[in-house]
Amino acid sequence: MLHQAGITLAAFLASFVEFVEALTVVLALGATRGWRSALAGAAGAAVLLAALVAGFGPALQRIDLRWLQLPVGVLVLLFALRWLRKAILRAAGHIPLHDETVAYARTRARYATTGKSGPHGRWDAAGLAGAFQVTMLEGSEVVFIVVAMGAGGARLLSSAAWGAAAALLCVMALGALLHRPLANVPENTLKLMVGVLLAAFGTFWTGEAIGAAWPGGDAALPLLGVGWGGVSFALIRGARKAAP
Amino acid sequence: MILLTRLLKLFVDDWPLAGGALVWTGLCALADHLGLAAAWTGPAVFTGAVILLGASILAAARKS
Repeated sequence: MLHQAGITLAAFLASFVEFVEALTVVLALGATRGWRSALAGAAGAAVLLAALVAGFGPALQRIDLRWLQLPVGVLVLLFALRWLRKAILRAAGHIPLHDETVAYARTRARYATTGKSGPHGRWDAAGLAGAFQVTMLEGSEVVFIVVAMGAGGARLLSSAAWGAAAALLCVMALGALLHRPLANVPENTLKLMVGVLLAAFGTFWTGEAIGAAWPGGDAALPLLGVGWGGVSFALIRGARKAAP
Repeated sequence: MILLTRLLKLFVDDWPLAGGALVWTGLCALADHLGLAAAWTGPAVFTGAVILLGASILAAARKS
């Protein structure tokens, strides 16, 4: 139960962040190249991503968990360390924060001058390809999270998939309602939370795979989350002081 | 090639961090296999990852 709730939350938050970034580009493409092409490109990529989850997810479950737990645990840990590193450096001011308004303006400017823009309501190759590419790019991280987190069984896979699907619906609804980039979403805080959650899962699974008996079994998972959260805040403070 | 690069980018931002985490996990697994650190394997994985992340962040902070 604890595992399932954590997996749904991690998949929801990670997917939300990735889909917000994709939405910015799709909105900019819709405004410059026409909505039909931008929406069709994004929808095509979303279908392909769902097919990848539907293909790889159940396929991984056929492999014995004893063989799978170590590579999945290590990959989730590496993935989490990458997210944590970036989020901590951004929070400490060493890397600029991702600004959706700036990304939107930059994409609009780039696509407004790329080739000939098709009249709105007709197909536009640049708009279609751009929306497909960005949705696939951002969605590949979502596919990894859902497939890796769901490798432990059908219940875990459906928990992760529901989390990602809920995030997609939320972002689509907000995009349709507001018609502008979701610039007020605290992306870096969400990334930090995802990093902490995934690092806890990655550490837990890696430890279990190489023979560790975690004290309290599954109850060690929230403790690992608290540990990674504390470490992250300490590192943000340390990185702020470490500026040259 | 592009797909492989993209796949690597999913997991690696900083090679010393990723490589160090892999080596450390391997050492923990070996220690557990040899019965040297049975009770400490889990905490050792956590501590190693924390130290590597800390070193990677402080190095990046000093460079920026």
